[in-house]
Amino acid sequence: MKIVVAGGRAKADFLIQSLVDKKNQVVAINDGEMYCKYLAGKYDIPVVEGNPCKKDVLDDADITNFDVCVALRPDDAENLAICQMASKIYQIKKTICTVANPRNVELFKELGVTNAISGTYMVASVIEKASMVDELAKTLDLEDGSAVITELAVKKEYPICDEMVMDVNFPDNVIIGCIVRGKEMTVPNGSFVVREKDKLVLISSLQTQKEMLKVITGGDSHASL
Amino acid sequence: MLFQKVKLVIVVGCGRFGAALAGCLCENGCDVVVIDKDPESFDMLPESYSGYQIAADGADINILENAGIGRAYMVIGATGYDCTNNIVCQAASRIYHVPNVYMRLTDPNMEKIIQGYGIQVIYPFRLSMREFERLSGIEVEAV
Repeated sequence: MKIVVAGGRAKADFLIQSLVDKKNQVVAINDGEMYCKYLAGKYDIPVVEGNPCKKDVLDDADITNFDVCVALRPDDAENLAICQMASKIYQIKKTICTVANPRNVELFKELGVTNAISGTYMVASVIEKASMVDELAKTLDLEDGSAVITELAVKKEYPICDEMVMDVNFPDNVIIGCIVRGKEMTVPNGSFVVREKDKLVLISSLQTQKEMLKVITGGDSHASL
Repeated sequence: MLFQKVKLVIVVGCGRFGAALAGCLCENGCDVVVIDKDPESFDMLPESYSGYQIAADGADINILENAGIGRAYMVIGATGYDCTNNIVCQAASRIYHVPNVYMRLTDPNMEKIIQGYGIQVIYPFRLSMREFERLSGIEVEAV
């Protein structure tokens, strides 16, 4: 893939290393003269010195029709401008940037950036998930959280225990992917009866996950988001 | 008719341009909020200015929300930084559907990224070129 990495220091270095190792064609743009020399010395890639928010600098990098643009500047507004120029002027389909303000993760996506990454945002969501339920073995976000896989062990006091699957009143957009009992995995039909210690693997949307957990656990305090 | 009372105007950037605009709009009866990172920049505001001042980063969506961008009648990106003006104006126009959005843009190359979003752009560069043309009578190619 053809990838342009704009701005960034340690992040850029690390990313370029891993991209080059995987045989990608990488172009780096950086406004630090010394850092450009360092990158050019370390990697066998074109390095363009200059502020990547400027079109003439991007022109120099010759990135038209590249596959991916990664913007790693410390300023969120600059990263947005870089990503938008990459897609609007250079027809780069995938644009990714780091953001300092976690609110910008959603905002930037709405403004056309393919993926905005915030350290704070990720840590917060991991903590949120971790504190959600002790008995939640795992929740896994797919498609940036629009779909969630939840793994949950059934306790005796849960309303779902000893119920048939068809009698469980799940909200929309929830499905039991499979149930693991002991070492056996079953994709349950409606008449399957859920027992204590069964492990449910559920697929839902992020919005319905909370409601879904309530139905399963009966609003168990530990299991509320 | 344009300037009825309680029309909320948010001006981001309190340099000479932003401060003067804020003063005028305030005198015209608008509810004005000025946002600038540098609290000292508010010294630029005319003495008659009676609107609000927020010393914070105008590119921060939380700050814009606190300033009332959701019900704003007009938002003006008046900082000296194109990138900041870009995020402010795009958020105003595309996310909060503010009916009147004005943006100062020093680099005409950035034009492409804001086309089609209903943002009115002010180019100091083009204005200077035009004024030179008018004063000198020498035709300069529009850039």
